[in-house]
Amino acid sequence: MKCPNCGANISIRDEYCAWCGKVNEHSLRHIQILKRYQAATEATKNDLEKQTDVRVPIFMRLLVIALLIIGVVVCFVLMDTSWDRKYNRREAEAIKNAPVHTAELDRLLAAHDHTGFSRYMGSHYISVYGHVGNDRYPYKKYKQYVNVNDYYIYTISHIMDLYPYRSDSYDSEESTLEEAAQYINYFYDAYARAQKDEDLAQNSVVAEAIEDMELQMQAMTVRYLGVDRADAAGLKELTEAQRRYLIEESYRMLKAGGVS
Amino acid sequence: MKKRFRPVLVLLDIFIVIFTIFLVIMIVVTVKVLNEPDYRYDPDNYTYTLQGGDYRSLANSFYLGSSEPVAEEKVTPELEPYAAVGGYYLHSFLLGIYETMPDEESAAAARQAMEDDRSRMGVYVPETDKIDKIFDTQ
Repeated sequence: MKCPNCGANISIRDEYCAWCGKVNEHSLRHIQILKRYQAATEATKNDLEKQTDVRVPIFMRLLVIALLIIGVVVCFVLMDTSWDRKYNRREAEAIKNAPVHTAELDRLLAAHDHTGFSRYMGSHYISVYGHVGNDRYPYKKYKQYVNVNDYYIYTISHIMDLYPYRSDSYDSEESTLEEAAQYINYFYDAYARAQKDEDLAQNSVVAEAIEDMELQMQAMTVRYLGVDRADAAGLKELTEAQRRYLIEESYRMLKAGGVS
Repeated sequence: MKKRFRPVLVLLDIFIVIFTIFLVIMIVVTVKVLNEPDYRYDPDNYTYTLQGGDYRSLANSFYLGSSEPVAEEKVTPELEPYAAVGGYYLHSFLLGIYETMPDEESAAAARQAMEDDRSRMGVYVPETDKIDKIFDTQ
């Protein structure tokens, strides 16, 4: 193009004429139009990017999903560990109150109140198996006794199921009797294990209590299962199968009104 | 400007809806588990047990350690008659054992316990006759 002032050859991009120094009006308008188009182009480009870029909405959705998954996991952990937390709390409570509990348990043990001992242990959530290997665990000294007592209590509970045998019971009378016989076998297994335990000799109170429990077991079989007194005295010497046979046959005889 | 259809976003939205429903269910279940009522302290529970003549369950619930029995100090006045019936049944059972042994001292203690149980039974005193018949006692 030519400079309107001096007629020299200049470019449309020259803001001033290099020859006469006059402002190039065409160039200024051209630059303004160029900037306007560039701005419009930039805005359109940004709009287009916003429309086409899915990274942000995807990120936001993934974030929400992650939070929801964390919520589900927290709920699951809370549910799954609720029993453990309850158990740990109970155990801590039992250890804290050990002086009171052991005093009462010692009294019940010495009195040979086997059901009372079981009730106290159960209702105060005391376990002899907590802190395995820790010699200072306050209830460890009752371990041999509790091992036998557990089966003594289960036996009582099962024999009670026969007195009276209720027709709406879940199990048949025969299977209830079989279970009772099975628990008597478990009792004598635990009794035999306790007798072999060297620690038992050092704890005469526990040893006497276990012996009393065995005598009560004999009397229980005589009174409620119809076992002959002499046979009951020899229950601990019998094999599991012999004991089972004796108990089941004696009870059938008792129910039939005969003498075993 | 019309929004473009994005299958990825729709899929993620579906996931969000599913996980939200799942979380709500989990929260409801968790709250239920954490606040689970202890039926051992519900007298109605024991009324049905007693009506069914299931004395053994009463003895289990209050006296036998195999089933986390209700602690003696936690037996409320509402629960006391049921604990007493369970106790009477258990002490009758034990009395039979002591008489068979024989262990007079323990038998006397069992009889005393039965008397104590009877005095705490309230309207359920007639149950003692039924229990006496079961064990041929008194």
